[in-house]
Amino acid sequence: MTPQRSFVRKNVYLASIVVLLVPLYLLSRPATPPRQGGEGSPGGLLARMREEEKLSQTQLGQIDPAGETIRLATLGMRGVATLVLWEKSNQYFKKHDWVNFSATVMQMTKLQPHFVSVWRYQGWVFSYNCSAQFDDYRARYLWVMKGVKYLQDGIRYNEHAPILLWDVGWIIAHKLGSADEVKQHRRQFKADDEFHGSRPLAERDNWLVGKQWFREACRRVDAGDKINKTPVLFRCEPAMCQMHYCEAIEKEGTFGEVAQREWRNAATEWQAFGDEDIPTSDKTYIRLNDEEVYRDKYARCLDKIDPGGTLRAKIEAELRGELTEAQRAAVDLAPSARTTEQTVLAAEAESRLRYSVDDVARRVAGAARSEALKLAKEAKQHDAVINRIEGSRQTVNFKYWKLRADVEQRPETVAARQWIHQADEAFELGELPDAKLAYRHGFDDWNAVMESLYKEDQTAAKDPRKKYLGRKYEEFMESDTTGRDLMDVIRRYQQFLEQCDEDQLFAPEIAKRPHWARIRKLHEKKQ
Amino acid sequence: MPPQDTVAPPFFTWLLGPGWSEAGLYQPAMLAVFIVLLCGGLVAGAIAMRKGSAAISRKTAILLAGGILGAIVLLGALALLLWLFPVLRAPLAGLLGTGWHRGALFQFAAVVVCLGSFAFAVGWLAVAVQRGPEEALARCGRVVGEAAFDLICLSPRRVWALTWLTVKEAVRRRMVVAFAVFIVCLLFAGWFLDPGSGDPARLYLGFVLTTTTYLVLLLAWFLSTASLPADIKKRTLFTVITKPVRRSEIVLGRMLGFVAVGTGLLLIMGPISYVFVVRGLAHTHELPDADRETAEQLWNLPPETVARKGPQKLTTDTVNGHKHTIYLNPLKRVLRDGRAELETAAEGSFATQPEQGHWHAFSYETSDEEQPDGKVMRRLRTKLGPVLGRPIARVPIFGDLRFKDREGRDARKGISVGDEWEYRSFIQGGTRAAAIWSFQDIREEDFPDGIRVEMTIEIFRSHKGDIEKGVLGSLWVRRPAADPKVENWVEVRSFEAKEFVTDVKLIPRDLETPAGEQLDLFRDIVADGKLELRLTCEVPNQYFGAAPHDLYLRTGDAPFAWNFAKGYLGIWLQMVLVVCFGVMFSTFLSAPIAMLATMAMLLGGTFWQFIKDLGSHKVVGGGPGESLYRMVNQDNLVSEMPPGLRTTLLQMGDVVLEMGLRVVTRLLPDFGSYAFLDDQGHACVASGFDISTAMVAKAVLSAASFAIPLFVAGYFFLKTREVAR
Repeated sequence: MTPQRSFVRKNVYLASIVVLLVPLYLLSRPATPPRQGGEGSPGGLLARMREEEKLSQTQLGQIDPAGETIRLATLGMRGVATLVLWEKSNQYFKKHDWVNFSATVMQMTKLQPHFVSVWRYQGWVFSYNCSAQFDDYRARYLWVMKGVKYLQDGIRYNEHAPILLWDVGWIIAHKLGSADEVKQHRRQFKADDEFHGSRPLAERDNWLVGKQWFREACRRVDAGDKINKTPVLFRCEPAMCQMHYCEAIEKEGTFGEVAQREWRNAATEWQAFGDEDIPTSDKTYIRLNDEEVYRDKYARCLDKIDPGGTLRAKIEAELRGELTEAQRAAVDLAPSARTTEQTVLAAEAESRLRYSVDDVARRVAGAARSEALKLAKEAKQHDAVINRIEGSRQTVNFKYWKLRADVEQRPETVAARQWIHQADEAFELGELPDAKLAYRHGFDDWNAVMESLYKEDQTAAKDPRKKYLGRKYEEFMESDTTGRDLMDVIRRYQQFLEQCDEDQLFAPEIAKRPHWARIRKLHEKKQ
Repeated sequence: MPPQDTVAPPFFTWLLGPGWSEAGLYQPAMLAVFIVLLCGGLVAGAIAMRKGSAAISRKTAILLAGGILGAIVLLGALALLLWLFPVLRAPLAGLLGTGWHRGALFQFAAVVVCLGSFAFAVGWLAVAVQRGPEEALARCGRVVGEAAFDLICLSPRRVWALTWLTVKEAVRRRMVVAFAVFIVCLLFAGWFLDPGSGDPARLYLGFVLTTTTYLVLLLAWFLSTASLPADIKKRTLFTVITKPVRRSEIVLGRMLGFVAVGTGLLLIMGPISYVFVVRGLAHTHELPDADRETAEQLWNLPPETVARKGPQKLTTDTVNGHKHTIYLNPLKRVLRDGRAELETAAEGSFATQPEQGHWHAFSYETSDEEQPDGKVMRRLRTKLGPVLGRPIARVPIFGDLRFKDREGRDARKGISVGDEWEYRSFIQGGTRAAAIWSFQDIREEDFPDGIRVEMTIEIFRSHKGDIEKGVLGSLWVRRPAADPKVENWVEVRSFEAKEFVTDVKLIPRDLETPAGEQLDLFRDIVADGKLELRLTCEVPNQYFGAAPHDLYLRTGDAPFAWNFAKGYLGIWLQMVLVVCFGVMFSTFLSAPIAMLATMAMLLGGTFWQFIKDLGSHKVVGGGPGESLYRMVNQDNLVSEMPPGLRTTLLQMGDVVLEMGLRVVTRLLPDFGSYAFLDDQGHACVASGFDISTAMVAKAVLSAASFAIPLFVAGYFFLKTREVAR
């Protein structure tokens, strides 16, 4: 190469570098904050994208100098270092070396503070897996709270990860509130001055504190943060915490006006939850309280298509004519009276007896037919909404908890629970006459509750438009949760009578109270 | 039933075999004669060689080589006979003790003889093929003879000169960078070390020991492997070789030089680390005003009221994530007019409850203060002292552990409760199951107030039981009985078991049997320094888990600073080994290859236990070939391999590979033993246990058993190498 060619080549390279600097500058110019007397700049394309997608470190959360230092020290081998630390942490856990396990987990999160899954996973490990290894309930509590503090650290580094707030709420509410050591943990939680700080004693209930964390998580999602969780399950937790709080205080012996008030709050919060806009997978929004509204709309559409119901009766008669004798006989029987074979036949028959609103609309003749078809389309849309709402309701057992809050806030229900609680306590203390009296009162009060539900249903059944509102009494009686609860009461009473050598009184006692007899009939075999 | 889980053997048992104390050679008189003869012979030989000529005649060389070959054949025949006919070991057993072949000294001798013989035979064969057997004998004999002169006739002056040269070269290579990195690590360590963890002493000590080990070993690795090859490449070694310097002096000078550099670094890092740990753990607490005022009231109440209230529970403030509980009882009994009366003490001092393995001294004093209304109030001033109990160096006596099953029969080990880590096995509560430790070398003067037992057992509940109450257990003692069926246990303690903390129990000197008999622990129970201690669980269907080192007798504490220094001695020994290997490899390999080889040795030594387990087929997932198959096919570790020719071939190959791995572990040093790790893999210094003199002696001898052959090998490699090319 001649010197001239070399010179030319060098100039070309230099010119290319200068030219390339322009797009480089446009792409990677950093954002600058506003200074006194001046404005900041949003920076180049990458800086603007980071701002929009909330990816920059300052936007993710706090920056930790220790974490930055340790990441620098790994000289680009952060992945390898993390892998080694994960392996070491597994070994330390296996060998119950809790000191080194905690230290290793802390180092891991210093290396990757914005990896939310690590915080979630290890927070769970501390609170659930590590705590379970300890025999002493005091040590278990310390490790549960260690998981909580660990997650709280994670929140500082990931301010836009509401799932961490949700996890804190879950551990405080459910781990402390549903463990075998629930009594001890709730007591320890109340006495934990270090955790609560200046929080008043009355507010130091794990369910109430958990509710606050869940609410904060919901608020962050409403403000625009993303969460990868089923929306209805995510949003139901604050109200569920209130429900569990009511159950917990009654278990601990708090009844009367306090219990009623808290159950009323639970009903209010559940109602509010039902009024929230829940996003669905097909980009629409539903409200769980709106099922009845849409059912009403659907019924109205159907009434407009077929006033009087003659077309529907005709379709039903035709479809019924296609059934076999056995299917007809099975479907005519009440569900509780069917044998297994008849249940199968009835299910087949019911599926064949179904008809769509289009079938009804197509039978409309003349000028009203096009209007009927339009109404049918509208009815189908309402039906689709009903199905979505129904699915979400089933996910959170919406109707059960709504009914539960409604029933539990009644004075007679609170009284019934109080009597049973007193009876159990008296039984444990060996005060048998007091226990017998309390059990009897409790049974009577529960019977009265069920009787009142039955009467409400009778009243509602008279309005055909309201029959889809549900059968409170039937739902109450058939609910597995209620059944389990009340069967426990029956069993304890049975044990009590055996203790008193009066087990022959059990059957007549139950027979005297027909609703109790029904509970026993419905649920005894299931358990 | 002999104990299955034994502790590490005592030093002389490890060195000379289990039956050494009955061996004829080791009786004092015989031993004295043997030592005198051996030392005299070595010294005389060395003096003769130093005075003699280094030139060896052809005849002498042939005789020497012939003699060596003859000795190899004879020793080989003897070893074969002993292996084929164990009955022939009996005469040797009388002289050297039963199980002499298991002693480290003999194993070392066997390895050295084998390797040396192999090297000699290979060398003789290589020359014999080219020049005939007689010429081969002459050459080999000459090499051996010259080697003997070179190795024995070292000049300390020349060795020192070369050592100093090496030190200067290391300093020129900026070895202080390692020291700078160490200081930087310490400065920023506070960001990563949590003083509020469950055992901050272990974290801090583990950190300084690990950092020091990594830095010093990496420095030693880098310096020792790069030095000689660089000198050879730059031809600066010629200036040394052309002087009247033996090759052995060059090798030894390099080794000692790098060891000196590492030692200097350790001598600086050690005290700095010590200060870092002690200062990092140092803290004190204060009693909050509310607690102090509550306590103050005790001095202003009648003593009888105070006695009825019982000890006052106070809590210090939270420092480093923990606080201490204090049980304050200000009462003391005084004699007045021949009657014992209660009164509140004006001052006093006692210990707080332990937390995170340490406690503080709590002292108080009162003063009278006159109130405006004329009443006199007692005012309380309190003070909490510095950390006590940590860092620490406990001196334990470990015992051999054996088990009894639920029917009271001897069992190999206890029950498994499904724990993945099978370090502990479990005994069932409410049955005759028990864990029994047998102790030896118990001296009354070590336990003036009774025997202090420390234990860290695990608890497994098969049902919740009473959550608020712990699982009850009992400790029993007895004199080791000749007849194992004799059950003369004396219960000494009942307790609620604690998990994951060191539970301390004192067995008092004065014991009482259920029959009312009064016993003295040392006169009536401990016999010839031996004692058996039994642990049982008293709650049905609950379990205690125990491992051999989970329970020990604590004689007292060694000075922590001295124990810390011993920990650093372990790092020094590791550094010496790395230097020796590095220099040895660098005598015949280029720098990059020497670095690779030394790093391979370092990694092999670090993972020595894992390689040994792999070679003994103890690792889940099979041998090397089977593991590779599982990795490629993404199979899990425990699924059965598919039957067939491939599996058979893989497993046969693994047998050969595992044999090779076992050989490799014989040739590699176990760095874990120089790090003085306990049975759970933690450094003894960090765990708070004293490193015994026996452990130190074993480590030093073991390191010397590598260092000396490496020096000899390095000499031979450098001697036979063509330095100028």
